Amino acid sequence: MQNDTRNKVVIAGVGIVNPLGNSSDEILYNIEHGNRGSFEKHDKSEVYCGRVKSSNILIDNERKKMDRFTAMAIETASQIDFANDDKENMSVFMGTCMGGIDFAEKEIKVFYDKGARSVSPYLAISMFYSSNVAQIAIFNEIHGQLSLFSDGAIASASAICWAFEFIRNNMATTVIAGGSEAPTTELGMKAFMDMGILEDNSIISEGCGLLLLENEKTANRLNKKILGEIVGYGEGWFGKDEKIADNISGAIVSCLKNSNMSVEAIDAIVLNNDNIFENSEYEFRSIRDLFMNTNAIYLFMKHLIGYSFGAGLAQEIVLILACLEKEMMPEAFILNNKVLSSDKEKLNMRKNILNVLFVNVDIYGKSIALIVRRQKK
Amino acid sequence: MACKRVVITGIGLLTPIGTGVSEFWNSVLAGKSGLSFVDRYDTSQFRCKIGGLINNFNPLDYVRNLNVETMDRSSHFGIAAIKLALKDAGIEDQRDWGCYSGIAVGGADYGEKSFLQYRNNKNEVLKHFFIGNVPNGLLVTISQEFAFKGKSAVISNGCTTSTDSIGLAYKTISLGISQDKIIIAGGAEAPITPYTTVAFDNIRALSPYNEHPPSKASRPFDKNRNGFIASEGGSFLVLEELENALSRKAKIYAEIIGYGSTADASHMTRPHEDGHYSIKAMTKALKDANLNPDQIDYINAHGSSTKLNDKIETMVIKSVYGDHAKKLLVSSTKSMVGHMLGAAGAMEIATTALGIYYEYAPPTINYETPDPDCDLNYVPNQAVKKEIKYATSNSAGFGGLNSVVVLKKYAK
Repeated sequence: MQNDTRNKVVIAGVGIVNPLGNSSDEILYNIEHGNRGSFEKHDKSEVYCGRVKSSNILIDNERKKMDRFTAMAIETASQIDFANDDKENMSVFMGTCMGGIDFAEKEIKVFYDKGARSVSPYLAISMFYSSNVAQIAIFNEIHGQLSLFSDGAIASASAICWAFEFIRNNMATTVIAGGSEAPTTELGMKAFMDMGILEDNSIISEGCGLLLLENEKTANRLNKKILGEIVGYGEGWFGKDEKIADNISGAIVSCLKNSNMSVEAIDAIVLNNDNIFENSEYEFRSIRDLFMNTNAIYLFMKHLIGYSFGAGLAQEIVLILACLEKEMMPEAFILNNKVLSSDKEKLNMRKNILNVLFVNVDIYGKSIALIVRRQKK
Repeated sequence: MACKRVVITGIGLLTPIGTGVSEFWNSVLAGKSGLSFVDRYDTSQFRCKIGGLINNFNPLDYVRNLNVETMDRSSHFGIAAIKLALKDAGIEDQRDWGCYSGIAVGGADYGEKSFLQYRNNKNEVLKHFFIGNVPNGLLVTISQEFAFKGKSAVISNGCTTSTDSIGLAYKTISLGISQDKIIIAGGAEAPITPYTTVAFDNIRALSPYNEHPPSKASRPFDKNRNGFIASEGGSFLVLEELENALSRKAKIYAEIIGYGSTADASHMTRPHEDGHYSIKAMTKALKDANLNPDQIDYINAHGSSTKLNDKIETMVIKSVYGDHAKKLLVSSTKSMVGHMLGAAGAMEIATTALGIYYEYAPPTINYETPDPDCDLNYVPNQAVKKEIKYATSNSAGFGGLNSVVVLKKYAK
């Protein structure tokens, strides 16, 4: 699949909002200092959930017309500089699992308690999942192709992969791609509990992560600071139980093949590790089998930034890029550091991470694996 | 890399005017309407009391491997439409295909029922909430029913959803984005619920037409049009690499040769007043197809029967096609079927493909009073025998999305 004549896809901007903070710096600071941000126990349970603190990008009159997952996306997009980009042809590809559930849940109560005439006139536009990409486009006057991908917990991965394909196949030059999720509603949390996907100390989060993906030539022409490159990806398929391990392996093997890379070229692996059903066990098994003879570092962060379904992978990419740029890596991210016994080795590790494999697994078994290569200074 | 040619070799339709290609197409040729008064819930508090309903549908006729009680009605429709499409294409036993499914408002039916159960009993168990309520539920149920092995995606782009599913599937095969030689693409929707109705009713997007016969409620391009009518159903098409289709001697309805999509980025419910970006979507699709406007014979319009959309769509067609616009045949299938939201685009592309295959331009029914703002040939009330070599199918959605697919009569 790797083809030298295809465009190289680079990351020329990032944005993030999370209950730990509204920027990579703020989030990493809170992680390093053990701060909880706005995470707190949900109801009377031992499960944690967190909400993002809103910035002042949107005024109240604008905010009331949209769901939280859209408002967060607009706020996150404001962190990225694309003023000089060709907005006539720029695209926006977003992922979400649950869309505007917050708005929908509030208004359905109004409907059944007070009647049809009391329901917000903005329900129709919030009901469409694509209101997210449409509002980003309206706020920023972006006129290219828009798409909302709703592939469950791998939705932002899906959006990023589609953006990658669009750019490298000349269907777009620049795409804002990522995911946004606002799942911590009364009904949502009840459903997570009833499905059995939460256990004590699980952390459910809302948030948004965005990447500005660009054709390398365009990014260079515009003198953009290039943070990294999307090298390639691979996808698995839906499966049940034991087949999920094959699915994850298949996605990773396919990703390596499509990226023209061997397992030895991978320096770090950001695990999905969602602790949902047996998915993590299958994931560990797949990765151990593939990478057991390599020195790859295993990283994960859902235990800190929370599990945010369709926004997860995008947020993880943003944070890892920030870590690599600063040549730091919070200890709390590192799962397997038994090969790093000295501070010198740890420092070398942080400096030498070049190729990062991200693994994303949906609750129902479909996986996407994606490789990001940092931009060396 | 040279682009591969992509053809439509199977169509699966579950609509208010028929199930399967034969019943659906016969209804189209007869100008039959599928609209009726909604009798599933009390409509007294709504302005709109009419919908495109699929009655006498038993999901157990199609869903074999799953519990139908644990999924939304849209999943029933999606699975049924895919089974019909696979059968139509002659590939019922194959699993080497990808699936791009689309749904605009998610599991509206199941979601609303879940809420009501929870409201009545806070201890109600919501174990299947995800499968039943979110868009991914459609693809998960499809994957569990069929265990297909190819690339998959869930698109939720409002009213352009399944046009975009098909457009992306076309690009995937054409550009070799995946190894799949077959992708089944389309959408399903089950929006005939009180909550979905109130959402559209409160912004006056739905027609308040309340007289007999209800079949007259959807009247695209007519001077007395006053809103759209929501419908339920499913529509999936089998898109196939031409070489693969030829190797198994598949029936070919039409070839897909272009796709274009843009965003108005101006208003969430109103189209851009000068249609600039809708024009751009059409010209982008024609350029992708390597066609001049005067080569197009037929347009399956978005034609939603709203005052503004039909007027602007007419203006846009005239702008893109110039003098040739007067020679075009333009019709709206929504006049018969209503608006299937996330499934509409696929249903309309299917209609266009059938028109090409059977050499008929479908009608716009209920066209009784011409509107000076809508002055094209809308194939009024009766299908017209016509060889269609090239056609487009237009979709436009809330949020200002515009998507167009270009089709061609297959020729070696």
